[in-house]
Amino acid sequence: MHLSGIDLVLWLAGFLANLVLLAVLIGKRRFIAFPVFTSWIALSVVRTSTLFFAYRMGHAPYYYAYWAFAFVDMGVQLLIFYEAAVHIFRPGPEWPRDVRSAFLWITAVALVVGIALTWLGAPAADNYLSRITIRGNFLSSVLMGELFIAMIGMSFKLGLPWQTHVAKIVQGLGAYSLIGIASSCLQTYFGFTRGGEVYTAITHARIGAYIICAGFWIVTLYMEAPEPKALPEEMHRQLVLVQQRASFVLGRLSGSGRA
Amino acid sequence: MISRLDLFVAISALLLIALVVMAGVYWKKSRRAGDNTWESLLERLNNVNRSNVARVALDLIDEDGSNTDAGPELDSTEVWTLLGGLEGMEQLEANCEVLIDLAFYVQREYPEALIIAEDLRLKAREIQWHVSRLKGAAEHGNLETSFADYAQRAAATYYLMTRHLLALYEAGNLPGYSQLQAAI
Repeated sequence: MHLSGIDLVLWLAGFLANLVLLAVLIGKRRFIAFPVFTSWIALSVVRTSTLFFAYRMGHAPYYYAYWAFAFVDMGVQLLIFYEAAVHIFRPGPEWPRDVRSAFLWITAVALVVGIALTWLGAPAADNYLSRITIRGNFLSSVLMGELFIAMIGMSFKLGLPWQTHVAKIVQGLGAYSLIGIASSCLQTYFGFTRGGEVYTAITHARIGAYIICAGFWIVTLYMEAPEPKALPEEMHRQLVLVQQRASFVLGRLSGSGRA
Repeated sequence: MISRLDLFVAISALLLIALVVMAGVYWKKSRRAGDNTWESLLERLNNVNRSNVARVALDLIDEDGSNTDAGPELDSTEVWTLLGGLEGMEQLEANCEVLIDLAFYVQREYPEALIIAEDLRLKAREIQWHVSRLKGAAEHGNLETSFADYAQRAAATYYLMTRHLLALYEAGNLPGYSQLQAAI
């Protein structure tokens, strides 16, 4: 098994980008607000180094390691989606009722569309494992792309503002997922034809796109969010009173109406 | 003959384009929403006959939001006339969009006030739901029977919401209180 010069450069660049990003997340204490995102970056660091050594050990160890990490990666990305959703859609202690149903619908539709499209794609590959790899990458990209873009749309539709850092994380993941859809679609189409040259070139482009995203996160997560304006004490007291009254009114109103 | 793989690529490309367009549109809209000023939000408010809305609302509830002891007395025709029919309801709906933006503005500028802003946002969306039910009824020819029920609840919610919003601005001594009071 042989790694080309560009393979090594991209692996190293990706590894270093993740390492710097991890240092920013820990150094700037962003891991407190985003523990799952931080874990995902840490997992990426471990995955890159593990896969690098597994690759040198042969095809089978690399393949098993690749798939083990791919499953964990997909699970953690879904948890990042949940983590971002908590930051954006749950400003209070509970999930707003209009968010819950929209959220379930979006997840269900994204899943159905993702699975249907993955089933439709018949990768041009000559063995079962290659086909599974391509399909798995495609499903993961489509699902994440749909969920993150839906999240952007939903927050606007519902009128919920974004905090600076969560916005940057979701923007980066949304952009990377869209690139992921395009690249895995092309990989499905071309498969491992021409000795896998096209597949490898697309993988390189995808890693390059990830490095750009990681750079974006390093810069934006390093910067501090704007200082929020302080709420006067009297206003805070009044707000609590108004909120209590509003909760009471809402409860009564939802049960009222014309007989 | 289109192969399965061609169909897959075509649908994937359409999905990708749709997602990119969605992301672009919402990104642009949210940037525009971020540029909103207090004055620009108020300019978007439609003139709603406040005394009529109050009359319809207070027929169903009293000032603190409890049901009136006597129950609603206005009939469907009176509710229809006072609220200006479906057109009047659509104006309320449009104002709710602005109130959601106002809640967004408060939440963004004063993050500590997010609970009240969230409450206002939920109420505005509740009115939008009532109005959407009315539109659905109009499409199915059931408007007359549905109007009084949904419209009166929507008016009551709108009334309470605007009172809460004014209370918030008055309590916080925020700029634009008198403008808001005149507009809603």
